[in-house]
Amino acid sequence: MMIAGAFTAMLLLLFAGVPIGFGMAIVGVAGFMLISGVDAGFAMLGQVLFDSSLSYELSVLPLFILMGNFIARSRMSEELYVASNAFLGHYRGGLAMATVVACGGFSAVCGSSMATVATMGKVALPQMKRYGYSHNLACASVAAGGTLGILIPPSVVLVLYGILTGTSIGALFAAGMLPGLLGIVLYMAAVRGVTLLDSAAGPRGERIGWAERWRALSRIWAVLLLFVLILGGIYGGVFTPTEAAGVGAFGAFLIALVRRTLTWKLLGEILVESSRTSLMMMLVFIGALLFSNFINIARFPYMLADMVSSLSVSPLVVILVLFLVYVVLGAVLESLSMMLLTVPVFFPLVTQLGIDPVWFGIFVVVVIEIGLITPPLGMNAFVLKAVHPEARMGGIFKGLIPFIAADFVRVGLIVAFPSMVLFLPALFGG
Amino acid sequence: MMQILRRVLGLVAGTLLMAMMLLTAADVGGRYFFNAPVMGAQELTEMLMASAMFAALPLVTAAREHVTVSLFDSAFRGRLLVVRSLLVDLFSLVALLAFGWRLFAMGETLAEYGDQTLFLGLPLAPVAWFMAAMSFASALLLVLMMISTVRDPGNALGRVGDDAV
Repeated sequence: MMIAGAFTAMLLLLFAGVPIGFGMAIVGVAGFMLISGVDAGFAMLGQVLFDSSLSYELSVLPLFILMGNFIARSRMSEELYVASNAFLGHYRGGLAMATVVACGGFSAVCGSSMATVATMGKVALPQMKRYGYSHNLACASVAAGGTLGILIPPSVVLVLYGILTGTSIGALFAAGMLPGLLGIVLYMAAVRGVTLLDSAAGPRGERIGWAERWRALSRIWAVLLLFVLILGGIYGGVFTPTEAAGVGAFGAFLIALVRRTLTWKLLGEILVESSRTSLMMMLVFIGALLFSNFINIARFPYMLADMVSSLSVSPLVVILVLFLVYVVLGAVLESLSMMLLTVPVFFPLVTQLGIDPVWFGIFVVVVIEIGLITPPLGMNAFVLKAVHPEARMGGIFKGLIPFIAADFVRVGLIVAFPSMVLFLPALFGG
Repeated sequence: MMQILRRVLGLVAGTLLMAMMLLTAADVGGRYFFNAPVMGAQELTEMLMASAMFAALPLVTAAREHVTVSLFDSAFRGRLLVVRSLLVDLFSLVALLAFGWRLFAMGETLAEYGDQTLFLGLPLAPVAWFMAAMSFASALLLVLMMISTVRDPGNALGRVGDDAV
């Protein structure tokens, strides 16, 4: 009863426009006070604020965001696109496939789907327009491509999931790799499907010779180097996933220096912007911690877990229900908040059913990615529209249908073949 | 005034973040190449992060950049928008004041017990006080924003110092 009241109060606050972090904090602390008293509630607030702001693990958040901003501002997007285009452009729908691949690579190191859509859109859309690609396919490939990087390590969302649930971040990163690549492949298949049905949607580009291809590939050394540096460092035991963020940010900083794209003014902008973005995310994280402290002391997640176990339904049914919950929530909530809000509620249930915490993390992120491109909120579609006002909203969403279908296939594969997720973590020894 | 505050806080947050990055790089590099990690790098990182993040709090608050659900934004118009703007700010204000108050109290407790970091023996209380001060500063900015909403309802959900940019 109280829990239902708390969830209602919070949704009212959030929908009225109260910042998500503050809304969750207020409901969390007030609920905590109702159960354990006012003093305990205030003590909890101070402790959580101080401890999580000074948590070493959380330092990955600002540092990965800083790395992403160095990458996003160093004009690497164009070279990535040229390189993937050199290999794929001459196929039917090839430019859209190249967009997907370039978006995947860019967002993997940049970490922000919004920044990816904004920067890649600028590069890829004019090209596809020039070759006569349909508006819907062109826009959709950018908007969908932007979601890919959330899963491909290094991933901020996975780090927060790891901290929230006490799951190994190294294992989560390894687990995200294959499903991330699968996402790229399935999106390419989606493009292929669209051009099979309507060959005018994505005409062939020019075939580019091998010499030119290698030259294009050699220009994207920086992105590849950074990727190898971070993952190699983590799994080679040179540094921890937490330290990887600092090393990665420093590497991105050096790359920006070498490429001579960095001015003092730009450096200042990047640093301030990164600290602001990090604070925004950190407040949502702190709000989620306060809220989850409340629902935990109210024993809600455990009651939920017991209730579901007493129904003795199979884990598969539970996962299916959770999938539907996430798709519905994804229509109204922003991705990070959705993850932070739901995972504390569902995690005990999921582990009690014997579902692997690492697998569940990947599942949640994949499902959240779908929310970024489904109407009515589909954040990536809005970002694209904001950067390219001439794009048509209805057309973008229509174009996204095959990509959403591809995502559904991916969720199905992850559910059907959990080893696809768990194989690499086991190989690296987590 | 607003302009100066923005500059100073931006400089503080940015410098601390840069320091965090260099510190981790120096620590990992030192350990790997010279077998000489930076002493107390972890606790320094923690203090730098907390300070950098909270230095950005007034900036984010004044710019109304906090993460919100914007789904129903268009449902509010005219007077309703003003009422909503004030209510939303009121809730944020309560949260920020509670943050400031609790962090200040945290600082008092830390100072009382003389809590220090493990390796470098740095006092922890000033960090809590700084975080409290930044929360209070954000609360103050929010009050100014609410006053400007009441004075000029057309400017509901406006930011502080927009004119200064």
